Amino acid sequence: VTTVLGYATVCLLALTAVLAAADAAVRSAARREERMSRLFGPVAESEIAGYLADIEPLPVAGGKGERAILLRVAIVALGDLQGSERDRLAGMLDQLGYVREARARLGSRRGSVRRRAAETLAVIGTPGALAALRPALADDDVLVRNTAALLLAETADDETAAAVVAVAGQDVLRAPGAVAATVLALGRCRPAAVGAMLRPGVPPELKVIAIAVAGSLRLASYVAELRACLAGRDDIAAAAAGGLGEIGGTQAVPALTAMATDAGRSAAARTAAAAALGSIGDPVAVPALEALLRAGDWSLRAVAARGLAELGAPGKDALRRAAASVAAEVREPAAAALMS
Amino acid sequence: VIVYTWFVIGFFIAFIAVNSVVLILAAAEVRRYVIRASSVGLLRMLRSPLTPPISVLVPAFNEAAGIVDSVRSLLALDYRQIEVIVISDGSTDDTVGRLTADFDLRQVSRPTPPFLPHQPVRALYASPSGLRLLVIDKENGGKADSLNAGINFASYPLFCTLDADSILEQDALAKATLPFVEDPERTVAVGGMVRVANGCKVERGRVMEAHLPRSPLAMFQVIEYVRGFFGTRTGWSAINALLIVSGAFGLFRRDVVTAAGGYRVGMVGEDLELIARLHRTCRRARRPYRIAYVPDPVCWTEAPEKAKFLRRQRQRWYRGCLETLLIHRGMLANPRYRAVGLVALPTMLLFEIAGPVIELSGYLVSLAALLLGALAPVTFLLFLAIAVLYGQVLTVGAVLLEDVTPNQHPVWAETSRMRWYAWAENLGYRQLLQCWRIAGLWQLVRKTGWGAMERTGLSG
Repeated sequence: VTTVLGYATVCLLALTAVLAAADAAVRSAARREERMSRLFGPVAESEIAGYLADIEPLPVAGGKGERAILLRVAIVALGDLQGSERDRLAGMLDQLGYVREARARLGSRRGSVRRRAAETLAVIGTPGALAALRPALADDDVLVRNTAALLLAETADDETAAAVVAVAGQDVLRAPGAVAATVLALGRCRPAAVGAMLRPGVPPELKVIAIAVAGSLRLASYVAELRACLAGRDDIAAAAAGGLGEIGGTQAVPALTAMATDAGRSAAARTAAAAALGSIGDPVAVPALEALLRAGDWSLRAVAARGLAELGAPGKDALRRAAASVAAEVREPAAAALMS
Repeated sequence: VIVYTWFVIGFFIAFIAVNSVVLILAAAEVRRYVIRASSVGLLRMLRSPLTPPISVLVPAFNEAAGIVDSVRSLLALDYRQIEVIVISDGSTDDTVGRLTADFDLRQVSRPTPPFLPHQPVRALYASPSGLRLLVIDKENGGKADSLNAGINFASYPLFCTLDADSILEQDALAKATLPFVEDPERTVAVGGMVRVANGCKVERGRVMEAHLPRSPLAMFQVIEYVRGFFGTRTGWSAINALLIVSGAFGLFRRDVVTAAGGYRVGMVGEDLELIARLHRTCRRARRPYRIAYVPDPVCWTEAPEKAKFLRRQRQRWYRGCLETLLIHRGMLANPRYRAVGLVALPTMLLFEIAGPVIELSGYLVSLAALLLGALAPVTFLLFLAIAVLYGQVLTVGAVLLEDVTPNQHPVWAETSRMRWYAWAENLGYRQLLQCWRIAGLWQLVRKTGWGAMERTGLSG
């Protein structure tokens, strides 16, 4: 027993020492990187500024560390620049071999290396860099695939947009957050591409994201598609109601009114429809919302009251009538909405 | 005596096995997090209009001294859309008065939502200028009751619980939202890193300079927090068996918590109990879910520096564990609850609840065995050495994990002091904690009171 305990003690001592050494190495690497940044960061900034102002030649970064710092500084600058200056800086990175390096790293066995390479290519954004990024849409790693999809979505042509949509459909269950970011980027840069995700047959999870994006970006060209979605299952209908509320436009009011008063729908879907009616602000919805003040669900009553408050004088009149009700559950939300 | 000594050795071997596996899982989880957190795509996700808005709930009881600074710093957080809800739990000082005066709040009328029960609301105050701040002045009912009131009045799908004297780093909410953004359907709760703020320079509700505390008791707690958060919670999170999301800083899905019945009133470990209940309700409903710990977003909190307050706090925590385990005893060793039922809860029972009794009795019995000649002195000393060295492995391992995250502790440069305290905690502090826990168990049996924690305040 003593021998076993002795060996265990030595092993633990060694393990403690190894962990402490590893920690020291991690800290030392962080300090070294910080020191390099402090030393070469300002130099890289000045070289890039000089190159862009055409008063200095192409910067020459020697070692690996210096090259990494130059790239980091350039990437930050690319985020701030636009037009010809941006193109010139991107061209500089291309000339310095960063695109070639990143393209080579896209073939690495490590997912994190491939993802960083994809990010570099996308930020540089020259036609050559984007062409090199395209194959990453078929990468085995979901993170690499979606990094490429997100970044290509911002510069996509029709063909690439279709490939990005395909990646979104493929990964919506595994990486819904990343897919939402990609669809949002697509909606901002190529709103026409969002339509493909609102059609029948698209996975419902992707459709809900596309509806949210259409609403959030107020893509009025999709009102008809969103209205069609109101007839779908509850989660899709609720998302579509929210989207229609954000876009506005009175064409959807009859369908939303029908949905809000449909007792067969879930409370969440009806509440979303009632909220949308309030957001759109068409007084035609007053009778429906007034009727909802007597609904069984608390949230529905509260949203109906808030909606009525947004419908101008007819809505306020309805609230005053409800505020005089003998039923406390009708009176309270109406009175609160009147006071808000 | 010999049999009991071997039982203690067996207990210790089990302790080493479980904690080693959890530490390895934590390392894998931290690696996974670091890879994802550095992604450009993630930053875009967090800034997108699809990121869920958050209601920040701040239960406050007699917090007039620091509440205004706390709320001001919360309203300035780097997050797309938040509302701050302060719940004054029957405060007898000027907590509500300070808030209404400083933020120019007016009394408003809103119907009380019926989703969760809580003590009656006396008044609601909101800003006429559109500032997203709501103050709920309610009858005293405890922290859980206040949180239930806050959940009821929250407008957004996610809510964050925060102690009134805790300080969130500017980007903490954005980072904590990561699992909700990545996996919005399955994620139901997320915990973040809590650090000890004692010794830090705090101004207007923000940590301006981080320093290690001067008080030895607070220093020991710094080590405990790092070990507990990085070495333990991260590991349990990797297998979806996290049992605690700290009440000081946690993020939850409002609909799921409401459906589970909200916080349980009348117990001290309401945060622990809620997480156990979320596991239970989600598993029973066969709902795919995830309760995660993100090892990067930071919340600073004040740790007790006086022995009597630390004792009360630890006894409170111990009682919370025990009560939760009693309430959810049906989950214990139940395969229906997977890793939570089969590993996490039995681990809590063995090492958190029974651990203090076994450890202290182990010291006594081993000492008796030594004195009676049943245990060789070399064996006894080697056993002690292993216990101390294994503590070092856990501490250094947890510190290493913290150092590889993007948000390293800013004062880890003072490593030598940290290391001394990591060794020194084995010489009395650890044993003292175990004694307090046993005393807590005794108090629970006798059903005595628990007392409140006195806070000296962080600002100034």
